[in-house]
Amino acid sequence: MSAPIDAERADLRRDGAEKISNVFDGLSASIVHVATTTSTNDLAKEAARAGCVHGALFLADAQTAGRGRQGRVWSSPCGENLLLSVVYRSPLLRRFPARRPLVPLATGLAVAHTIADVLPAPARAAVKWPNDVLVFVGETRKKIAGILVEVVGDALVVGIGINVSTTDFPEEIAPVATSIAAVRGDNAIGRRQVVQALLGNLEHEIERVLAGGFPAIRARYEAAWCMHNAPVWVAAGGPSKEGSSTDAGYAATVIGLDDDGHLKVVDGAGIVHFLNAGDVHLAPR
Amino acid sequence: MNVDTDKLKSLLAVLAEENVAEFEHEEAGVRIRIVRGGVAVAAAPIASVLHTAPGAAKATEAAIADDGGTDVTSPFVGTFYRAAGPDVPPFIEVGASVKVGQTLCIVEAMKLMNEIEAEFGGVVTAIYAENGKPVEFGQKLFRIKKS
Repeated sequence: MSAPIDAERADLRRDGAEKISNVFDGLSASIVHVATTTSTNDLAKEAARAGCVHGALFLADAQTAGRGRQGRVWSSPCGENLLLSVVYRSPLLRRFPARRPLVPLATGLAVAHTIADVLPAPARAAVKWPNDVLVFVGETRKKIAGILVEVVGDALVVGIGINVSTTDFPEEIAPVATSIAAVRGDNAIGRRQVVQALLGNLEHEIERVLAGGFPAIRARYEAAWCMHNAPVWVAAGGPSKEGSSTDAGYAATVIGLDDDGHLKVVDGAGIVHFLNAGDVHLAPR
Repeated sequence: MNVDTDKLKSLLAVLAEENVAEFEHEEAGVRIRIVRGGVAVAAAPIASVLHTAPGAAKATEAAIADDGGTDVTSPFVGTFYRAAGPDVPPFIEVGASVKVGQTLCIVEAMKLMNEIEAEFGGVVTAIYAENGKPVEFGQKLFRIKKS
């Protein structure tokens, strides 16, 4: 591990601790920062099961089994990117358990805002329903962050990976992955700055959606999303790979979001579908 | 038949607003079919209205049946997964013994992953739901004979 990474990690611990105790004012949040773990969601889930406090934060420099939905791999070179999980267990979450499925949307929005704030025009960070965050530069569209929200008893584990400094991506993901440094063309933005902004945005959006439902974040979500009138492929029959031509499913056009945050699409026969799960792929550009 | 008229009214409003010709939906044994303006759409896919999943990620128990088995039902609407990923073994198989707190499956709603845990120990005697398919609130997922 290089010296700058160690130094940054020390900064992250110190400054992050100060910042987070401000963010979760009055909640005695804890911070665990490890060099390597299987996945920060594993650490957070274990802590949540053991009854850890709201706002407990788990950071890692590297993950040996970073994952997304349905076991998809999330890979990240050591020390370059932000890999974190937060245990969410707020009074609003307990009060409105039916709004839990809106948390991934609020998380996607918070991540998109955090990234958008550090990207220069004309690059644009946008949300793809429900919670993917993509960066658009000219004709290219690449993934910059991944989110995995899991339920553990009365708590949620909000796992987030944001590509910060990686510029040399493995060949198989290079066409579809990017980072803050790759888009900016410099290393001016570090993990510490991103995590500080992210935690503030995250609590803001999640508390809003829990307090007021999807309508409370609708305007900001729609302003940040990239799916208005977008042609999509709705995969049916379980998990599928992006761009796979053998997927069962149907072509459709996005027409909006309902008040529960479900995606409204209309298919070729004019039938409107309300979607709450599954894979929706943007048509190739 | 028990139809929520408020829900039906808002449904009709949405169908009219989006100019949907035909709509069919089944939930909890109630099937609703709406054809607007007498225009029928042939062989079209059926749209479904899905409801946001309510909270607690605990499987609910249905009535105990004659064979001594107990049905575990879905606590919310979502997509049913028998395994943590496409390339890993299912959490449970028929004939397997399960302990309290053991993960039975995942039900996903808007990418919120809910691991459904066993509320009692026993032996799995049936798996009703199909991997990767949508499940409704209260739909039977498993049958477990309590030990």
